[in-house]
Order: sequence, then structure tokens, then C-alpha cells
Amino acid sequence: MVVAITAAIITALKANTALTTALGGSFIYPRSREAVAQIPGVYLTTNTETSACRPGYLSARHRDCRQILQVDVFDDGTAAQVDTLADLVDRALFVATLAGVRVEGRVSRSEQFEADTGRHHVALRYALAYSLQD
Amino acid sequence: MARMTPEQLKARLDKAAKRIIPSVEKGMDLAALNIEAKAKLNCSPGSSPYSKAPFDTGLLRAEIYHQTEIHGTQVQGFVCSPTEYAEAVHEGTSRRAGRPFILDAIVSERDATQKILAAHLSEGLEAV
Repeated sequence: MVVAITAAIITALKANTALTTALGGSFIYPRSREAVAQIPGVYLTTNTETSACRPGYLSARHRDCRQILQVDVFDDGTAAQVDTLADLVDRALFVATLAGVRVEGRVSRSEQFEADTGRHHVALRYALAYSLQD
Repeated sequence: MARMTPEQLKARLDKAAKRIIPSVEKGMDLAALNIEAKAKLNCSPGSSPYSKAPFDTGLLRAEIYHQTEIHGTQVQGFVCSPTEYAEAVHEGTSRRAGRPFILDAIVSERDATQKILAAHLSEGLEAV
């Protein structure tokens, strides 16, 4: 299910023309743990996923799940540019219609500068909620 | 039945809020300690949820600490890592995805945190 949600979010972000224009292309990908990020780029990673059986699970097989999604935004321009990209990701995610998934809010936002590569990085985290039927 | 004016009720509730703070502080300290322990497990090979635990010399794990602060009637708990490269490990870099050892600990211990805080809050209310 995580794969399906990540794919739906990537599709929603790619459909946002303001974001893809600012990025200079549809550079939005799922993150592979060890892979070096393309610059500029937006990468999605699942941090934590938890699920709890709903009352009546034995007959209905419903589970309520929560997920922390990390969205990394990288750019080698200025800090203002990467901030703008992060703001666009924020806006795109909050207005996106994701079937069966609720974006509950942003958990954190942090900015880093990689001095050795000259890359700016904004890490955004969102809390998502969705239901599954086993 | 005890009768009191709204002002008296307010004064009494304010007094109660002040009296429960030590108990809530104790609960917050315990909850933060629990999260600290989980964060340290997240940095330990064998118990880490990540494909590669953020562990080399053990400095990152050893320096994780917690503290509790009181600001007026607010009790705040912190779990911190002062290690220089902690932010790069937690948030990730362009070369490696993040391993949020503290955030994951907060999320996974959410139920335990609520139970600890609820128990200490009710303990404090009983004492009022």
C-alpha cells in the first residue's frame, strides 16, 4: 500500500504545473535509501508506518493506518530557491485529492546546507492517514 | 453543596493547575526518558529499524539525552542529540536518505507517552 500511496502522491505533485515549472521538469521520485539525489529534485520516503485493527476486524478486515511521509527537496541554487520549491510542494500536497488518503498536516520542516556539495536541502514531513481492507 | 463565585472558581482552578505541575513534570520526564531509550535502540545495530543502523563509534547514540522544562503552566519535554552530524543523519542528505531515529521513536512510543502522561495527570488531580 505504501507503494500505491507514494505513486499517487508523485502523480499529484507531477500534475502541479507551478511545481514542475519551478523545478524545470517532473523531477519527482521515490527515494532509494542509498542513491545519490538528482539536483534539482523532490524525493519521497516513508519514515514510519503504523496500523491498528478496527473493532470488528475479524469479520470486516479493516485496518486504520498512519504514515509519516518525508519529502526531500534538493537544489544547488540559493536557499530562497529551495524554499520556494518546498513551499510549492507544501501547497501542492495540501490541495491534492488523493483517493482514500487524508493528509493530516505537516509534522516538521527543516533546512540544511551541504557545504561540501553546495546543495540546499529542505526536509518536509507529513502525517498521512488511510484505511486498508485485508 | 459548595457555592463559589466565578472568581473563586477561577482562583481555585488556577491553584489546581499549579499543584498538578510537579506530577505532570514527573510524567513528562518519564515519557521523554522512554523516547530517549527508544531513540537509542533505533541507533543500535540489531534493534534498529533501518537497513543500516546509524552506528559507527557509538557517539551519536551516547549523546542522545532528554530534558524537561516548565514555562508558566506549560510542561515541555525534549529529546535531543547534540552530535554535530546528528541532523544530517536524521534529516538525510543528497547522498543518503534520512534515518529519523528521534522522530520514529516519538511516533512508535505515542501510545506509551499518552498512558504515562495520563497516569501522572490523574495522580496530580487526585492530590489536589
